[in-house]
Amino acid sequence: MPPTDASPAATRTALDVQDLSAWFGAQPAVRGVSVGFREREVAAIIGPSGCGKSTLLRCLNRMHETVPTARVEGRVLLFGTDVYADGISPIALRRHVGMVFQRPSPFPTMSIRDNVAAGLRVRGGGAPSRAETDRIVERALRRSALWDEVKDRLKASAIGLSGGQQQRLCIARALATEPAVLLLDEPTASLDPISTQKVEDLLYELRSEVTVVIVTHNMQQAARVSSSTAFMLAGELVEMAPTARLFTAPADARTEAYITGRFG
Amino acid sequence: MATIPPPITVPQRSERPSVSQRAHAERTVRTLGRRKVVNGLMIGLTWAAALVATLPLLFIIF
Amino acid sequence: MIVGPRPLEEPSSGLAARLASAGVGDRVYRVAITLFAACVPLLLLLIAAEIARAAWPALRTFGFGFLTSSAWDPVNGAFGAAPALYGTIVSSIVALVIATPLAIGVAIYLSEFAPGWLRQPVSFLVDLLAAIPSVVYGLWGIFVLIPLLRTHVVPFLKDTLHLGATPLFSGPNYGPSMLAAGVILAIMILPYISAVAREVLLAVPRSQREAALALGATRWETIWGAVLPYARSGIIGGVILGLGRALGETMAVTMVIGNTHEISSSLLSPGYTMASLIANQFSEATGDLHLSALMAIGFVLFVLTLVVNALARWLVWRVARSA
Repeated sequence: MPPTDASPAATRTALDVQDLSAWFGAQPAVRGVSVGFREREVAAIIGPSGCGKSTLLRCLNRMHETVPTARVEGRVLLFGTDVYADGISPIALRRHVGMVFQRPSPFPTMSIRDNVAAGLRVRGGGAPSRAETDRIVERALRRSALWDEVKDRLKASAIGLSGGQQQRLCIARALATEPAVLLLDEPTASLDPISTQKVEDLLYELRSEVTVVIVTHNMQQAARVSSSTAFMLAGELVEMAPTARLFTAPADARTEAYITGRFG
Repeated sequence: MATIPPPITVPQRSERPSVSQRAHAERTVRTLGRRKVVNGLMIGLTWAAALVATLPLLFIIF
Repeated sequence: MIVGPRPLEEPSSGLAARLASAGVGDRVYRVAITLFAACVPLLLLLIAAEIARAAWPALRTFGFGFLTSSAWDPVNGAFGAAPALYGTIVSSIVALVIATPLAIGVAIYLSEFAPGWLRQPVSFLVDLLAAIPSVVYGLWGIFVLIPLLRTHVVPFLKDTLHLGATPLFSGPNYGPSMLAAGVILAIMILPYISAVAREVLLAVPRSQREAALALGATRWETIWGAVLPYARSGIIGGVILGLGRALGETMAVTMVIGNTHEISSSLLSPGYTMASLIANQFSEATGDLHLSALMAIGFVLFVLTLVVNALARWLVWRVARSA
């Protein structure tokens, strides 16, 4: 098995995290992590509960700072631009770095179509025309493999969808703004196995167009969908390697202990 | 609110976005400043509402 | 592994007796609470029937014209509810128009923006408005609000905003007015609306806010696009609660509205409300028809309140269903 299955053109680093630390109040959650995520790859972050993997992910689109008392130090370069530099707006950043959360969070008062278009509509002005919106919605739903299931009920409430469909709707919603990077925070943690499989297949398809970073507590999932995997422990990055190598020949003894199930 | 921060540039995908999509992206950058003004204005209004709502009690008591 | 219950083929006689007696207790309890629950609508029906019975002479005498007539002449025995009905509705609408945006603004501030140390004091100050006795509001209205309206607010509305030409603010303002009643009512219902709205907004899950923020929404767009829609049926409920309070409020309104049987398009003119009409005249009603007319006013107020609440239920139900 080759170390990575990335397309030949994808050699650039999409997200370059440099010496990043994050706190909740005085409590450190991420300690001095440096890691790179390459363009058009699926990268996984694994580790036991409370190891800071979700916090690291939330630092990448500056969602961490929306929590009161949260604090960040370090740099995150998105295609060379430091997203924590002065004058960079987190509002603008989040249109380029989409995010999907652990629990499906469709907007309950909106239809399926309006949910997908929410990223286009939630802005103050300059929303695309109706026809253009319809086109964007269809494209996003096709990319999230939901189109065939919902094309006849786009005006129906998003609440009527199953949990797995809701999560794919959230992925469609994140894709509609055409982000360069998609962050997923344990996206299948609340889903049944069949829905989980659908989301995993979808991530595999997305990798040719979007850089994907997925946090998961499920090592099999990381092995199935990612081409490189980072292992975190107690807020620190232990190692990052091509997925196949990390799971077969980890460089660090702690990684080996974790993947062989000796803790966590 | 006078300075609009530099737009974040990300590379194009292999499948190029449509012209209207690009125009849309440009509009997004232009409207960002206006959205921030609206944001600040409305947040300010909620502050004002809180202030106004506490005044009657103070007036009545004192 | 779940351990199954022991087979019940041969229960001990003690257990069987206990089970049987428990069944009796359940039945007694069910009958009792059903009776208690039935008491509430029964009481409502009784009140309605009693008011309707007392109002019957007036309703029979004036018919539907009671609702449209502006007469109120105890000497000649001519009565009509129109000015008081109009005054009740208009003063309540004025109160809602002023209080609703303010209350929702406060609720948003408290649930989203207030720093931790300020949240409790501001909530407390606003909630305390509900604890002030009605008559204190009335006195404050007479001694502070009415002079303030006359010397500052009305001149500002007329001269600076040039609203004097519109029917709503035409004519002179001598003091007691529909506007004064509306403002007093707004202050009185503000704590109810804001308390409900605040609790509803705090109950909106964080995941909804994060979902909107992660799409690139500003904080205001998050509130407007995700938080308020999620909370809307609860907020409507709070507004209706406030409206119910405003429709029935008596003392403070009586003291500032001027108590005049006239329908005027101008908010600066004095008016009357149904509740204040009853309060003013009930103890000194002259003659049976006068008393019956006051009961008929009460009946109209009762029906109005029922209709408003039914409308509110329907609105909340529709909003919740479309969600």
